[in-house]
Amino acid sequence: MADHNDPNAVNSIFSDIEASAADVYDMFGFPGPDHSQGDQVVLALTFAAVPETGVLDTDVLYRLQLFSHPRADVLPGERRDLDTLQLYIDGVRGTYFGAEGAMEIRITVDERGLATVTFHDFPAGSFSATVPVGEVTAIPTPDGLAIDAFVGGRDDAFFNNLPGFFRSINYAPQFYHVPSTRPDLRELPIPKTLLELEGNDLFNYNPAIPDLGWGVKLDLPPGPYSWTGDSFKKDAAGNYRFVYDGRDARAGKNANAIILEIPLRFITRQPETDRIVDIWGESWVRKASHKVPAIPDHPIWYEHPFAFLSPATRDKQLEGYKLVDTVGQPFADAGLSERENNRQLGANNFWLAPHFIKRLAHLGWGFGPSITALGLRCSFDTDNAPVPVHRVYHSAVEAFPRTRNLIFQPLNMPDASWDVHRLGIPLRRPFEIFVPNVCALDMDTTGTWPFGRRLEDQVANRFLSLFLDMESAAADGSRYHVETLSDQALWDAAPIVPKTPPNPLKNDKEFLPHFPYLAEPW
Amino acid sequence: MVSQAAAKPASASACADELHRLDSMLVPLATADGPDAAARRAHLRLRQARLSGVVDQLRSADIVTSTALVRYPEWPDLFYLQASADIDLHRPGSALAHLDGAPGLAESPAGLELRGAALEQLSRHSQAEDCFSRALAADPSWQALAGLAQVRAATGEPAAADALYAQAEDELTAKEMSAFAWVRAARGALAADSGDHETGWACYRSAAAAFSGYWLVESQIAGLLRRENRLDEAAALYAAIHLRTARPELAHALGDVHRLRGDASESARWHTVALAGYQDSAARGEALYLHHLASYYADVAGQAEEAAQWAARDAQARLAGDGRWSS
Repeated sequence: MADHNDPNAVNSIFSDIEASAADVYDMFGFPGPDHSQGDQVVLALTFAAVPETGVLDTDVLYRLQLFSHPRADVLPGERRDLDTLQLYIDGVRGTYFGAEGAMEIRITVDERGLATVTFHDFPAGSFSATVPVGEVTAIPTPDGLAIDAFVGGRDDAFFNNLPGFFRSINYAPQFYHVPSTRPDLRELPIPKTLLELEGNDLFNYNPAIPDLGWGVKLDLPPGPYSWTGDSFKKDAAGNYRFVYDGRDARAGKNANAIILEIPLRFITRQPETDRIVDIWGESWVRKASHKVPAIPDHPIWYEHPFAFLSPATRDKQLEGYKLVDTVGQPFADAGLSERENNRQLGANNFWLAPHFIKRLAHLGWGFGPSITALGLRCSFDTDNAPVPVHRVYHSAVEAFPRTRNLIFQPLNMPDASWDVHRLGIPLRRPFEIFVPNVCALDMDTTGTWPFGRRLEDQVANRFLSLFLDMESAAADGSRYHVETLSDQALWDAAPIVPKTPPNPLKNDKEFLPHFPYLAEPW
Repeated sequence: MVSQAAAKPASASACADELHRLDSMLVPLATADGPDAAARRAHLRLRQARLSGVVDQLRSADIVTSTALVRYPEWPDLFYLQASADIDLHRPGSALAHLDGAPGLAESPAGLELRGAALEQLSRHSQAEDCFSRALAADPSWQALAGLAQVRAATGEPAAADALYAQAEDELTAKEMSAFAWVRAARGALAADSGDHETGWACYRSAAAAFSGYWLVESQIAGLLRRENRLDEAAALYAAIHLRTARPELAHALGDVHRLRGDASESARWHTVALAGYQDSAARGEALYLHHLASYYADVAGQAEEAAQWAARDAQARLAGDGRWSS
């Protein structure tokens, strides 16, 4: 019998990408309002509502990891250089490299619609519980506490002008069918920008196709795919055109979610001092070899001894699954990792630090001139470039000087309400936020981003605010803060249309004041 | 709350389900225009043909692909798909030429996998290995691992091949059960070829359980039944698969089984069916069954000279499309 069985005959790069239950959306973490068991941590992992809202994929394992520790101090006289950054990374690397020390919660759902929630390595031990999907359930812990749990469908708590973000980075797949064989044509080599560029016909708003990027896609026209203009686009009244329009791309859409409210003293025996709870989420898809019961266990350890180094292979259950997606910080994936599969590292994203510097510099050359064109002060050094520049860095050393202030500046908060007990908690800096890639919840704060992530936080506007210079004061002494770009008055006064904050300021449905907090599904 | 898996209606087989799903995916594309839609149509048609095992579907998908490529020569995905179809139809020279048709395609990980497969069909093992190795360095896909495994199997290293297939398996998730079945079947064939029928059966059983109704797995099971002299079962299975696919090589195998059973008339009947299928393919100018014709004339008809002629024509046809591989 001859060969008719080459591997490409079975599959190909053209396996159409469908919505996947393994696509984790967001990781929320904030202190709960109920103090009957002391401080409580609310954490919520949202992911694609596949196979449908309220029905979970039985081949996917969701994994939440937690790590508690005291709040770190800011070193006096800290220098803003790469050595300092390296010291920071070396310091936290010991904490996060490997699974040691992290507690975890695993969730799988069976064909009957029952979720198995397994708690591993908590101070009170490891145990599991079964909860029905779609119902709030109280899980008793071995040490006599109760954990509220909900697994099921909710309204997607993400409210965001995604097409605007993708327009700002000239991300073609949002607007065009891009050949699968040309991944280099996804993020096109056109300067990133917050204001439309004159002649950027591929991405500027086209009134003839108003829904382009909002569900309508065209075939990618032939190139060139670069920009040769020298100015922002302006209308007859001299207004710039915003790449954002403030609409909520997730309005009316659902997600599936795992929501837990956990007493802090279940997470740590020192709840008085361990005030930081790092949280991150992962999705794992069952391996094919573990889908078929008749197949004997795959003896991976002797066939692939190298794999023994991976935490996954030290764990019998995870041996049967493959890590697909991770989430910790918003925009660590979409904004800074360019959605590359091989950068789905979870918390252990230390080797990405040089990439983040290069990426932030790349974004800075795009967003910086847009910010200064609007009369705002920018944290990125653009050499007063009048228009965005497409610049790609191959060296973090080369990129760092321009991003120095962006990376090290403390992110101002709009008022003092976040520091609940007025403890003088240090403001967070971007490098601390994105490395490691965790939602680092400070239990002495409200948990608003970047001190966690509350459901109502407009994190996309806050992410963009990294590019504002928060250290220099205006003539009236005021300083920018993480909510500056959410201030309608700023946009009313700016020479721009549409006059809107980049992203919507509220979710499409009111959140609940009580567990499970996320709104009912549509 | 009941999960979707529990609510799904029972079906004939996983393969039938998948073919039905592909059908439904084709519906909205039927009237869609443009190169992306054309590429998606071609891809779905090729996938259908591979899973169904029906050669006429493969021919039809090949025409859909080549027609789309003529219409949209600027769309690189169509060059990839055409090269992929070329490999299915045993036109490795043409596959190599098509991979060179779009800038950067031949050197991309996916392009290198196809290039490796084409070179392997030309028995250029070291060049194929180089392609798969480079593809793996960029993207450790199951396809590249399986491709490299095929090279190892072809160069007489079954243990190394099996280890690579095992690695390929480890890359596959529950969402890729047809690919898993393919790899498991390949491991089963390796084991069976080396005389380890127990492992062969274990592999085939799991392949069939993973993705039921897949002709490729079933035909290999029939082959092992034949090896074990379970001729009635082999004949029944070959006949059933042939009924679904009309593949001449299955008629050929069925004729061989009947010959072993001592049923000369059934053997001759099925060999005639096979020969007609091979000749029809050759008359269409296809390379697909030339090597089968060679083996038919050598093993069934006992005509060595004719067999040698078809073998030479097969070698020539495989090279067509890319003069660099002429020797």
